[in-house]
Amino acid sequence: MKKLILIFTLLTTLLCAGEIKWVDFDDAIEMAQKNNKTLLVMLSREGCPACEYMEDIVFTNDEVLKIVNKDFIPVHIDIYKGFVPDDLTYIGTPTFHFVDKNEKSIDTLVGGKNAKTFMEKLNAVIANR
Amino acid sequence: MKKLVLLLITTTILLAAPKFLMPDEAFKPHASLNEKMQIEASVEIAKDIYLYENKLSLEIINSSGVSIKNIKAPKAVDHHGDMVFLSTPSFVVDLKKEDGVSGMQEINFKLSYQGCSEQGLCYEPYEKEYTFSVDTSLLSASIEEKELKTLPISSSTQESLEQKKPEVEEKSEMDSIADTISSGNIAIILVTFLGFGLLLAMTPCVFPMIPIISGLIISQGEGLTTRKAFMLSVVYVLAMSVAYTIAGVLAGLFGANLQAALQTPWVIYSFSFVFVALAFSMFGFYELKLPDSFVSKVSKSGNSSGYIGVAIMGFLSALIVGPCVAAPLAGALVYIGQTGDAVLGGMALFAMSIGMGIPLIVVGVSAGKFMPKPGGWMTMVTAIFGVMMLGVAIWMLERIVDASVTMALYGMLGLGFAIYLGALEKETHIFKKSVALILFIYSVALLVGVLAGSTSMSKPLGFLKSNAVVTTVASAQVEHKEFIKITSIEELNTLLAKNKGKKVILDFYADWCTACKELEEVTFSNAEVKSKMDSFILIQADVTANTEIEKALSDKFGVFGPPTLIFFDENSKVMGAKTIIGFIEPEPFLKHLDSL
Repeated sequence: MKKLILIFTLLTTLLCAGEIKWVDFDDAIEMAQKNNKTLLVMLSREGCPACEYMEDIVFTNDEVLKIVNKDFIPVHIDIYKGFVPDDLTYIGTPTFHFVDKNEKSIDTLVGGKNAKTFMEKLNAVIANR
Repeated sequence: MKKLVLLLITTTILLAAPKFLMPDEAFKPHASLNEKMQIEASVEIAKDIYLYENKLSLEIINSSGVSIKNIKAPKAVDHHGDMVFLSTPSFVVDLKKEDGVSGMQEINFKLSYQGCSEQGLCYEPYEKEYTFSVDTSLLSASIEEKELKTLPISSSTQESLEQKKPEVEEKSEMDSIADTISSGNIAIILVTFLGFGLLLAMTPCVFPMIPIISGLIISQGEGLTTRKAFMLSVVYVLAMSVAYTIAGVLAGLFGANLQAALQTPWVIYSFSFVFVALAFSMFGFYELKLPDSFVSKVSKSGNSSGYIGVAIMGFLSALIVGPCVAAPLAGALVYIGQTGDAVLGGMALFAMSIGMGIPLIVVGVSAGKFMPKPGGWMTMVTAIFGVMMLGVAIWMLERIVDASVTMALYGMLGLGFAIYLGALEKETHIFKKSVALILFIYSVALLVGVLAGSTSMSKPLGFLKSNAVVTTVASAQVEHKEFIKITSIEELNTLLAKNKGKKVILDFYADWCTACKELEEVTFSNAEVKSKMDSFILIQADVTANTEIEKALSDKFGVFGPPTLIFFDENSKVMGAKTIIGFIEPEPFLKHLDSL
């Protein structure tokens, strides 16, 4: 019974919450030049539990959504399917790069994080900007 | 349910920002080859790191004829719905070889893996390659198991594979013979190999021995009894068998080809010289005899004269005159190589050599028995054998000198013999004179042929005809493929890579190999065979010089000696069961080509 309630809660959260509107990398750079925003580039791939966790749990969190949609341009690159710019290095997935309008990586976050830690990082990047 | 799993991960993704290990710290792959020719491999993983079972693979990536037989793997555990290794997994890989593979083989072993950190990072897949030198004599042949180049290490897959009915691979003649020895019944083995020997006696390997043994017996001269002729022949054959057995056991155990090693120019020259000396003794210039004092020391009975000489000749002629490799011989060598059982393998070889020698004993005894009484005929017979000895001497030189030189020598020999027979005399018997004249004309033709640049003994004047052909029916001539000559593994690999998608015949050849020449002149020159072979890429591995490079090439394919034909399929993979060792007639060869 407890499980059912849990799943129900999770499902409603998912349905009610907004979604991340992933943007193509090149379009994102254009937008960044206009709006002076920073890109949040997520490098992921299939068969990566921590990536799934980020997409399904962290990026559905309302507070995370709010910050991401307000201050960042989210870009999602599958390292096996999409093109990864040279500057965006990684030793594994997920890896997050904060990229400025000049296509330069200004900060990096390696690995999956829970919503709280992830937001702390987002806020730190905003503060340093 | 997935949500629930993800929720569980939340607990493992820690609050504090963790410092992730670099890949080389997180994973430390190891692999080594142990004495039992097993590969011991492991991927050492750091704390909080895990490896996916289905991303871990152990493979042999080159085609060395060695493949993976079985992998002992630890059990993976369920980790949020994936089967993973949470601690360092260690593997033991059993290897096996394809039929006909022997000696040391280089294998390239690849260990691939991919894993994640519990702290929320999935690493890239990594792979590491290792090169090992595998002593294939310690591996079992892949006769009963289906070829599996890579095995997924999941234990469940393994079990199901083991349950599958093993697919019996077609065996090559050589392997069936090796199996015969493994069957263990000594009587059957010896009788089988005696039979093989009798069959081999009909091949070109044994032909040159016929004039030698008859010559040796005839040269005993007066006082030769049938009994002594028999004893001498037996001694000759025994010595020959001992030589074959020793050479075979050495080859099987150490992979050293004693026979090939003896095919060096100075050995050939000196042996030819021995035959020339024998010939001249038969012509009556002098008598070849060991000093009496020596003979009496060796044996108390004066009757022993000749035995030692015959024994030495038997021993040497086995090694030098007829170095032939045939399927039964190779089979016995493979058995010795695989089991290290030199006794049983050696007995088999000995039985085979005796089989080869039985016809020689018959020849020797009849040479002794039907030898005419001393007188005119006797002189004639010894002269004929003297000429034969000279012929053997020239024939041996064929291996090391240019064909035109030996052809000229044959021409001179024939001419001299024809004149001796009385080709130019008036007072000769009509029969003798006709034979002498025919020989005379042929010898002159040979000499003319040499001067015209011909190297064909059967068609010394072929140059006359070939000109005519060119002028009249040139358009009707069909171009046939020629063998591409190579001597090293590199050259072979380049050619194989270039001709991917085509079937390839690799012919191991040497100038000193009688059966190879027979194969070329009888089988490969057959018109039907020629046109059939056009659909293959023809490569000839010339191992005449027996250099290290050439030996490596032979070792790679487990070739004991020429002639050996190896067939590759479209993927440049050796069709082990199709290998042909020794001479083969055009008819069965055509059938063999059709079966590919």
